[in-house]
This record gives sequence, structure tokens and C-alpha cells, in this order.
Amino acid sequence: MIKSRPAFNLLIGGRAGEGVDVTGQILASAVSSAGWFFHINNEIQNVIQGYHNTLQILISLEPLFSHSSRFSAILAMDEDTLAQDLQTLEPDGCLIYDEIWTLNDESFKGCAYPVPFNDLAMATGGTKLMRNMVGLGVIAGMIGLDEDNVVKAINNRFSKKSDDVIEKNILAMRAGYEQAKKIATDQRDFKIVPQTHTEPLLITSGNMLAAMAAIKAGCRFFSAYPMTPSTSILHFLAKHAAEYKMSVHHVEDELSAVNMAIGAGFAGARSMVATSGGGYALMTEAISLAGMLEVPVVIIEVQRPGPSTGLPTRTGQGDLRQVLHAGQGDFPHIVLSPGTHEEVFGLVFEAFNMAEKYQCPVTVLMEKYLAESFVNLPRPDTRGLSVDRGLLATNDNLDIGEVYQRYKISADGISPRSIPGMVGGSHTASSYEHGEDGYFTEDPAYVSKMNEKRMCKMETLSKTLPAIALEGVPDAEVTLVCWGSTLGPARQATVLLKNDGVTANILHIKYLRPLQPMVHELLSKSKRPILIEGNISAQLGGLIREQTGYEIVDKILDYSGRPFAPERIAERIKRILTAI
Amino acid sequence: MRNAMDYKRKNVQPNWCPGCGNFGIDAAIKMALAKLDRDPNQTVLVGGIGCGSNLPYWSDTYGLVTLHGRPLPIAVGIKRANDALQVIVTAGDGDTYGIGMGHFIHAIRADVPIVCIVGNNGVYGLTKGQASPTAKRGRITPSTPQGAPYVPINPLALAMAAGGRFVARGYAGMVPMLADLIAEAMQYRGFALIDVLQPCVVYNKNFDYAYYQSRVVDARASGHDSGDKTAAFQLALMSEDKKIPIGVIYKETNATLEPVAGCSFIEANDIGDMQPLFEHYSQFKK
Repeated sequence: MIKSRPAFNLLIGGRAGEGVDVTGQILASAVSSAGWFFHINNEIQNVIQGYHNTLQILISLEPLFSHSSRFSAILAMDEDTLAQDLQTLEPDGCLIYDEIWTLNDESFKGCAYPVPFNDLAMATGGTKLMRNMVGLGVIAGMIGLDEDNVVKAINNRFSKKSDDVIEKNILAMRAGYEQAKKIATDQRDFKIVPQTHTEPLLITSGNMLAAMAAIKAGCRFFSAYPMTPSTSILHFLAKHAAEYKMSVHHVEDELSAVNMAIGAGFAGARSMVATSGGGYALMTEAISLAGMLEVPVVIIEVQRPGPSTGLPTRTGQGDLRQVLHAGQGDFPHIVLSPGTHEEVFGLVFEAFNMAEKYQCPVTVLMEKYLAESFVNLPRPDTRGLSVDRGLLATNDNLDIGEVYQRYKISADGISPRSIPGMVGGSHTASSYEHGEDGYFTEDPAYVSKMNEKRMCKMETLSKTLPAIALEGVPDAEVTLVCWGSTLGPARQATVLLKNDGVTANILHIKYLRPLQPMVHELLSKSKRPILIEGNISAQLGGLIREQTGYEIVDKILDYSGRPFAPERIAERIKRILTAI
Repeated sequence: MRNAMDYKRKNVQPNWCPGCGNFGIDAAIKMALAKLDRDPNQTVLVGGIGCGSNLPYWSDTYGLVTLHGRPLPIAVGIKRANDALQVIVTAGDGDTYGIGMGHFIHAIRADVPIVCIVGNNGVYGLTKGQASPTAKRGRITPSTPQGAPYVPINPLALAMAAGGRFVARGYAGMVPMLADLIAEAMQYRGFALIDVLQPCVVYNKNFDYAYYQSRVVDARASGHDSGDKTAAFQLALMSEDKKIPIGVIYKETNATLEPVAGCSFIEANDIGDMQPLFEHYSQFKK
């Protein structure tokens, strides 16, 4: 008997500019309305039009943290898809392609279904451009998506187009939906089990969640220079700036962006910038400045593979070392990295509190994979969140008539911060080494004291950081050690490994600087730690060894510019376990 | 009413060389603040790195000594965060026309109401006398032993070409006039540049007080219409051999500027209600 399944994984391939994105986005909206969950991963060439692009959308009854590299179906909108992507299809998967092409891959044994895309698009009065809507309809029909949900999603996506154009797109989709009925079902039913419970879901990317968290945290100033893959944060905040009283600026370069945000932070506004690795490199002198001035600022660094310009539209984890060591001299700098979309919101919110509490720069590291992948998830719970503006000067310590001791030495390294406008709080904040009043000094005793005062804040923070915890079964055969959005694929890999009889748990490090407590303890206890990282030099492995003395011997490193696929992680772990 | 001494930080003395033009600029800023009775708690002086950039240290206002080249974006950030503040940049010609040139042009374009006072002495004093971007061609310095090879920057013409609406030149040797100029700039609702001719008596001895004293001419007093941009360009492009016009060179009077899109410290505590956003993004939107 043929049964519906809990998940469906689709690859859409087409030329840039042909509407691969739009197809996936409308499908995502409709899927979300049906209460199913999705995860979209885009793999695009760094050009505007013409090249072969793919969009992967995994649809499931359960919330998703990762894409998957084995597809239930492939929707080929161009011939390159037939040439390049067929081997990723599951044995009982289905290929849907344009009937004008001949399928000459003899090794392909799967089920193939040709569709007259152009004819169907034009039969209802549409144009060839609407062939993607035919494809959308075929998929919607295959997985048992309610046609009304798809119509609603089309209306929503094309709300700025004329009624006539929208109607023609809908007709093209309906034509595809009819075709789906003809797809042979003797091998497999592609229908997804209907969702029984529904709650309001948010359709969002990691970048959008970071931007929303900034709004929630009361960020009032954002400046940036566009840099892929961080730019959608700028777009999102620029769009919503007026509603949320945020001062948002696309400035001349990253030097300006970060210095402007530091100025705003000095003036008392919560401020943030966003960039990628190259832009971050330009910002590093000012990050050291913020550390010296003890001015709060939040920096989002969305990684793409380097070095240099690297691969602008791909993913990687090669910037950990750059961020950890950003800037001249020693100064307090907090580095965080969320693992999943869910974690982005809370961690960026926390970054603002930390920046003000410890009066220093906070960098939040993400990757293109997390930042630009779209998912739907339950709306973040904001009830427990509260703004902590840190230690501010009050009438008690604003000594009117005396020079304000802005950098007063204290047991925890934190001094009450005065903000321009506060009567009696005036001082000069200086990038030169300075005394407690901010006035420059070269007195060796003071120079040492001020270094100790600043760095003491990191120790103060260390004491409050949550100890790291193992995710999954405690006595697993292997422990996957990772950071950032490698968590999602790693999590899915543990499920695959379990099916193959291998127990695995995860050690995911979210607080990288200072390193959260208990890393050494848990690593020492784990049977076989395996490092999984998206760079060539095992940067987290190096950090762990530097901070704890523990060396993780087994490593799975990927620096291909593509995200880790759960299947690949599972495969490589099995290979490590069976190696003599 | 406050007087200029009220803005002086107690128990500290500037570390400039005797005869440095920065003394005149420092005095003029304090006189301008007093003239307008500005609240020192609502005043922020922002320096870069250089001799003149240390000026915030000697003032009893809020101040920042920042990075070489970056005082302008920092000042713009401060002003955008809190429009109630009087923000004054005190930087040098290296800071502003060299390493920070990109910010200079774009701060003019942004037209945020800050006063940018550039001590223009033609040299990098703090690093011992290398040619600055305004140094005359052929000038021999430790970094240009064969003579400075570059065409000097013309700050006034450049500022006007970038859309600057308040473009002035001051002279550190005529303090009361410079103070009036700064006060006028402080009241201007837009980006105001004051390029200040500033003798460096140690590293640029040919351009001393005597040199400037015999050449500076008050432009407006000589009949210059500072609202006439063509005339302003003519003054800015004039050869400086015989006469150097000072005062307001160009001031656009017919335009008004909206308040700076910004926020205040107090508002930052107000957390946004997320429900409308969450609702909006229940369908796919980029």
C-alpha cells in the first residue's frame, strides 16, 4: 500500500531571472498556511541573470533546522538541471521537466514526468514567463496542498501587479495542478500527511530575525554598507525604520558605518551595524576603538567564503579567527554565534544587553546558510525579554563641579556610564590610554590598571555565561562538536546515524568569546568527539585547544562554499568510525 | 550668561608648542560657545588624531578623541542619535582631507548639522612635519625630500562642489573673527565647514603669522555676497599669493533642513510591539 509521508524535499533548478525564487517563495507561503514547516536553501551564482540556480525546499510536518541533499522531486525549469542535478534524486523520487527536452542521461532510472510548460502557460492566455506557475501547480498538486492556499499565496506575492496578470498566473498554476493528477502513483504517493494543529507561523530568514531582534531590543541606530550576504538586514531595517523610530543609514563605506554606530552608541542610542568578512576587516580598527572608549555597539558579521572576495553568495565559517582577533591591542570584545533561526532572535537581543552591560563591542557571527535560508517557525516568544541598559551614571555619582570619573576602577571592571546631556557627566572619552577621568596618560601604573580594568569585564561576563550542555543522548558513541549554523545539519545527521545504529550527541558552542564554561569537562567525558566545521584550518578546534588544552583529533571540515548536508556528515562519521 | 573661561577644563593645559595656531582655534571655540550660551552638558567636541584633535581634552564639555580620519562619521552618529546636542568636530587637514577624505565628502552630502573645524596647516605636525594634502606642490618635507609631488586639495571648492551649504575659511590669528564665524556655523541648520588657516610654527615656518596677517581679507567686508555660489567659487579658486579671502565664502540661505532623522536616549527604552511585524511576515516577503 502506498502511504503519504511526513516530508517532501524538492529541488527547483532554472536560469537566474526565470522565477526559481518566486516559485519557491509562493510554495513556501502556501505550505506555511497549511501548517507544514519548510526550510529553503538557495544556491545561486553571483550574477544577476542567466546562470543555473537552484532552490531547495524541504517541507515537513515537524519544524526543520536544515536542508537535505536527497530529493523527493526535482522540478527542472532549465536543461542544466537535467545535466547536473539528477543524481541527487531519491531512487523512488520523481523528475518533472519540460517535454521539449529529451532526457538522454542513460544512467537515470527514476520516474520522469514531462510537462508541456509553455503550452499550458500560454493556453490560458499567459506568457512563457508563467511556466514557473505551471511547475508550482504540479508540485502543489503532487503534495496535496490545498489549491486555495496557493491562490492566496500568489495573490499575496503579486499584490503589486495588475488583476489581469495575477489571474493569468493563477490560471497557469491551476493548469499545472490538474497535470499533477496524471503523475503515476504506482511507486510512491508524494502527498504529505496533513497537519492537524496550526499556530501562527513566521516566515523568515536569519537576517530578518536579527533585524527583528534589533527592533525588539530598542536599537535606535543602524548604519551599513551593502555587502552580500548581510544586505537584507539593511533592507529590512530601512523598510521598517519609520515605524520603529530607528535611524537607518546606507553610508559610504564600512569604516563610516561602524564609526557612526559608535558615535550613536556614545550618545546613548543602542546601535548596530551589519556586514560580511571583507567589511568586517575594514571595521576592525574601530572595534578596538569601541573597546577602548567602552562604548557599546553590536556588529553582525554574516560569513561568506573567503579569502578576499571569495564566493559572495555562498556559505562558510572562515571568519571565526578574524572576529576573535579583530583590532589592535587587547580589549574586551564579546563574540556570539547562533545555531538556528530560533536562536538568532534571542541571541541578537542578548547581544544588545551585553554590549551595554559590559560597555564593549559585541560581534554576532552568522553564515550565509543561516542568514539567507528561509524557514517558517512559531513566532518568537518575547515575553521573557527585557532591556538591560547596564550601569549608567545617576545623580548619586554625577559629581557636579568635579570632572566625571567615566572610567572609575571597580571590582567588576564596569564603571557608570554618563551620556552626553547628563549634567555633571562631561568627560573626554579618549582612544589614547587614559586615566579614570578619560584624560590621556602614559603613567605606567595607570596604563596597567586600565588594561586590567577593561579586561576584567570579560571575567565578570564569564562568570554569568551559561555552561555548555550536550544536546541529545548522554553516553553517545560520538559527540559532534560545532558552532554556528552547522548545528542544523549536525542535528539532522544524528537522526540519520540513529537509523544506522550509531548514537551521536552534539556539543554546540554559542558563546565563543569568552568561551562558555564546561567545554573541557564535556569533551573529556565524551567517547569520541568529532569536530565539524566550515573552514580549512579547524578554527574552532584551534580555539578549543587554545582555551582548554583539549585537542579534537577527528575532524570533518568543508570549505567548498556549500553548507554541510546531514547525509554527508553522517556518511563521513561512519567512515571515521570504521577506519582502522 | 557663561563666559569663555567656563568652558575650560580645570587643572589641565594644552600640550601644543608655544605659538601653535591651535591656541587660537581653542579660544575661538570657547568664545563662540559663550556667545551662544551653549550648555556644556549638551555640547560634544570630537577630535580625530593630530595636534588639533586633542582640543576636546581642554574643554569642560563632553568630548571624544577618536581615530585618525574618523571624527566625521562619529560626530554624524552622535548628532543623528541626539539632535539636541551641539556637535563640533576639531580635526586636522590630514584627518579630514587625507585619510578621512571619503567621509568629508559624504558628511557634506549627508548635510547633518555639525560644525567641522579643520586646522589647516599644511603639515602632519604630530608625526613631525610630513606634507599634508593641502601642502603646496614642491614643498620639501621628510616624506617628500624631492618636493611634494601632488596637487594640493582645495577644501573650499571641493566642499562646494560636493554640495556644501556652509563653507567658510577662518584664520587662527584673528580669534574674535574666528569665534564669530564658529558661532554662525553653530547656528546653521546643515553641515558647516570652517577651514582654518593655522600656522605651524615648528614644521611650516614659511607660512607663519606674518605670512597670513599680510594676506587675509574679510570677504564679506570687501563686498563678497556669500549667497552667490559663482562668486564663492571664484574666491575659493583665487590664487593665494597676494590675498586670501576669509569669513563665510558660501552660505545657502533659502533651503531649510528637516530635523535629523534620529532618536533620543530616553526613547531607546521603548521596546517595539512585535505583533504587527510577525503578522506581516506570515506570508513570504523579502
